[in-house]
Amino acid sequence: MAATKPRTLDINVHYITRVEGHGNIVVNAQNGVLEQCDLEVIEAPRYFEAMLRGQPYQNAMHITSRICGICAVAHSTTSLRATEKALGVELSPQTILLRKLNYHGEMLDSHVLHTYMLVAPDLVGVGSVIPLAKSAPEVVLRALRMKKLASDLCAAICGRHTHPVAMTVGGFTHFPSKSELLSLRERLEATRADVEATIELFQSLKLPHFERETEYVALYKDDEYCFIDGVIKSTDGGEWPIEQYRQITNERIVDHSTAKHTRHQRASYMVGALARFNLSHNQLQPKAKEAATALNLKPKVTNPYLNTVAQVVEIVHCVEDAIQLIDQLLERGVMWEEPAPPTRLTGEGTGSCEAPRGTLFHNYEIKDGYVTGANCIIPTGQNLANIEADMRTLVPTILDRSQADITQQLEMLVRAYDPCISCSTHMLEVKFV
Amino acid sequence: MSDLAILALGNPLRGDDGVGNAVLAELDRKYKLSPGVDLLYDCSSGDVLDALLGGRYRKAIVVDAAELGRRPGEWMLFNLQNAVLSGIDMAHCGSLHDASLAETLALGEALSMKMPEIVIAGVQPQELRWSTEISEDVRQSIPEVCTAIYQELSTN
Repeated sequence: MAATKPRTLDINVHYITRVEGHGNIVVNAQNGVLEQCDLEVIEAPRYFEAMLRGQPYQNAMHITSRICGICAVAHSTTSLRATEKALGVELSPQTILLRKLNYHGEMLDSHVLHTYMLVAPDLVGVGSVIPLAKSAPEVVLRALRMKKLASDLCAAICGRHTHPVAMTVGGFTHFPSKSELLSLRERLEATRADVEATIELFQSLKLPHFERETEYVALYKDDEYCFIDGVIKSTDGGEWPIEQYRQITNERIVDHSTAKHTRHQRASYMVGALARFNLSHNQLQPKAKEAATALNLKPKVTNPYLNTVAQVVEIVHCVEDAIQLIDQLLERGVMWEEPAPPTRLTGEGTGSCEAPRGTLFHNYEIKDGYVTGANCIIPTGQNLANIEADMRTLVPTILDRSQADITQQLEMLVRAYDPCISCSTHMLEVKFV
Repeated sequence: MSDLAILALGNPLRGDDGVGNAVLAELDRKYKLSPGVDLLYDCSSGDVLDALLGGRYRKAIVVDAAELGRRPGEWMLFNLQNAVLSGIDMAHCGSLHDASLAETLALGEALSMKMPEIVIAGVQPQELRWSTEISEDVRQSIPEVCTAIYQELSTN
């Protein structure tokens, strides 16, 4: 690949901070020619799929929630959907509402962490959230307030946010009281001031300008901004049932990574908030649409750095949608329900949800109530090839900059994807050779 | 209202790293803890953040596998005045997706937040491998650790 400037890069940075886990970015440019630009995931595989084999189906959710402490509700919900489809479990309307509400709690929690704690330090020129807390305590305290609300929302619905205990196949084992829902509603309304301040903060921060056309993939429903179930949709055209996930992901092994790469209609694709925004912006809550306009986010967005801004838009959506879901639950009245029972104990099912950082698939084969096969494809794994493609396009355009600046741009690019390498395996240490 | 918390850190799928949960389970089973004591199992960084910086607790005991340089199963109760938790660079520290106890406490300090008195119960692990089982040496230490924690609770 030819670069535009006659430059030789020899940078070796260990540990990019503010991403989850460890890996390497290897960039090799000799006399202006980019010879290597890889994202190496170097962590050992975690074998969750193997751990599931032989387990009673009821255990699958509890085991797979441990794939990630941040996406625990996403993994739990996806696991439950895979199990429920395999065993013919039909959910009640109340369960569906409670799961959606619960899911908004996790999305809020994760997006607040990423936008404030992991990305904002880059944009205000400090090394981490610790100096940010010293220089702008009100910003970090706002993030902690929003995170606390998100965590309490999950605790009210699923027992606790990290590794939920009250979600089960077919429903819940715990139900929020009317007073808990009213209290949450009041706090969600009060948090609108923090949400407004979040929009203003990101209006004031300048993100790098970098455009690259790619394929965006997300779950989709006509009548809602889809986080759970739906169909798989691509900005390159086409819709597929979740069960055909293998035709979308096309996992393959690459030499330089312990995490598999994926490809669909192009050499790579992107999942996550930006993909969801590009595909489902019409289904956003009105206030979230207003936020997108205020943040100058117009589909189709092809700047991956703006994934963080799409997350801010989703923060608005989740708060507004959570209020509406609580209203629906209050109107119906939350009743104690037995979990819906399996109609069979043998079958295969695929669950899919939009984890905060993109589309997540779990596929289980169950025989006589025991898991006999499992396949989990997580969002960061799907994004790895696209991150590399971005890097290969970006680096030649910035070869005239200082080594430190190039390094920072690459670190920020990877962070923009909000990678969760503990899910795929792990991540990142930058190494230029 | 609870003003004391016992937090179990660590991954119960990683062998002796699950000792925190095992200690809490033993405390719950064998001791009559007052309603003023919250047992917080399976704590991730977010839970630690919430419990230690939320202003909710007067005192918190954190139970985890710890590299103490001792034999497997040996344990210590210590506070932050006589221990250095980590040598990481707080100005460029890692990810709040996986913040350490040291990072969480540094954040609280940077924000001048009121934190509880913190006592750490560290148990030297034998091995951290893929297993839900705790090694025999570590298992045998659990009753002693529980006794020490219970005594620590009764001093307040």
